[in-house]
Amino acid sequence: MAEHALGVEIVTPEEVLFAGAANSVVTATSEGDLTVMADHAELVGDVVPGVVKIEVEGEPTIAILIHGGFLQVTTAAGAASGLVEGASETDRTTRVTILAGVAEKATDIDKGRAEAAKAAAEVKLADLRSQSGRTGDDDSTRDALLDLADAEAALARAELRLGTSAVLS
Amino acid sequence: MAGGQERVLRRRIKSVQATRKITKAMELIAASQIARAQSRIAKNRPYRDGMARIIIEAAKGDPNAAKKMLGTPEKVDVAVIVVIVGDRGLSGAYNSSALRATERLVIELKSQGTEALIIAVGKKAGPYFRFRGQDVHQTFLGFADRPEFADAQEVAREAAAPFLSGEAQQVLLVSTRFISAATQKVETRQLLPLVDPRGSTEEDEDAKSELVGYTEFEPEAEQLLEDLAPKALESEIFTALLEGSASFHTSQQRAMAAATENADDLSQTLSRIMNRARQDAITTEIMEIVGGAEALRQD
Repeated sequence: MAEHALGVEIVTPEEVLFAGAANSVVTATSEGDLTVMADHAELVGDVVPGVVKIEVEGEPTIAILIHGGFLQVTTAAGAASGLVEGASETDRTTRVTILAGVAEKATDIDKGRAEAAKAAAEVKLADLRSQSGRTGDDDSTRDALLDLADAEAALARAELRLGTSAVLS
Repeated sequence: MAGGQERVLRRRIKSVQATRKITKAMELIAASQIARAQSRIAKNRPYRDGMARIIIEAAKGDPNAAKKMLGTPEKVDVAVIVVIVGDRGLSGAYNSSALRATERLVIELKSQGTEALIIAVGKKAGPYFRFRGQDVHQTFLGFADRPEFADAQEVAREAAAPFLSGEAQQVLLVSTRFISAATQKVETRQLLPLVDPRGSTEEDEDAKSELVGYTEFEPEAEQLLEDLAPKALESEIFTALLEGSASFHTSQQRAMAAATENADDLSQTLSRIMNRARQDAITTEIMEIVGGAEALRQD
């Protein structure tokens, strides 16, 4: 019997970062922080960049850094089967799926690499901003804007990684 | 001169065997890549499935917005076609079947008054279309063998740009689906506007409808659908790239296995011909000697 159990999966396009039973998941959508426990109402939402914390019975909290994504909470018969041991197709369970384009376990963050990435992104940004005054044809403007957005995103990712590893250590 | 023929044959056999070594090596390399490509498809599946489920939920949450954002556009002036092939050849029909399907699609679109904008992934696409006088808007190289998600994001961005600016009304994808190790099929699908994934999972909805009471949305379903669209596009393209790479390696393995077998047959046939030629040469030589001796004795 595994009624009222919570199963959590955190997946990226390249791998499954976490899949299993948990007591709760703490995350944040664009409308505020969110803690999901078993029997949570059905929900579909986005996940803002930040750390998702998973509480697993008898284990230290698992922290996973998400660089933006989506989540779905399903509470139904058999929702978490396959994730929670012993949960059958008929047990009413809750499944949380978090999809992220880029995500990593907080313990896997390479601080040195993040620092280097941050420095590189800052240089790139300064460089791009100093050029932005120039006018060009539509295509080059568009490319410049895309480069700028790329550099800003890279900087945001690096800062998020550094912030997360600072909290942990 | 009979001995000359033998030498020619010997050289050909040597060349066939050298080629066989190459095809055999390629076959083994391709075979080792298939397993990895397949495991990457398997690892990608939870993400793709999760994405489909979320889109279904969001579409159910706001049917009006869904109608606006999903489905087939009525009039298409310009369609973006993303075609995925390999960076290398020697892979049987893998490249050419996807390219031919694209060409047919372009012709079909043209007959409906739709202009096609081709975005090609893989080195083999450029020359094919250039030879046929078909413009290629953009080509991506270098990652068809081993696609990373960042590559898919880049392709997705380029494919979505004309759609978002209103220049194109539809984005189509021509790629090879990896159905199983034995079956791969070229398929054309619509990427944008998003296709309602319910089309293929009808029974899933029936099973759920009685249980679903009320689903919350954060943010609103309409906003969510809008945010989901680019992510879904990336996911679809990434899946297609992974399946393309698996299909490529499978085709290559098959093509190279056939080539190796052919080389074996060929070298066997050639050695038979060579042996006969050698025997003929010896026989002729003996006949000449015997004939010469006979002639001398009678003198």
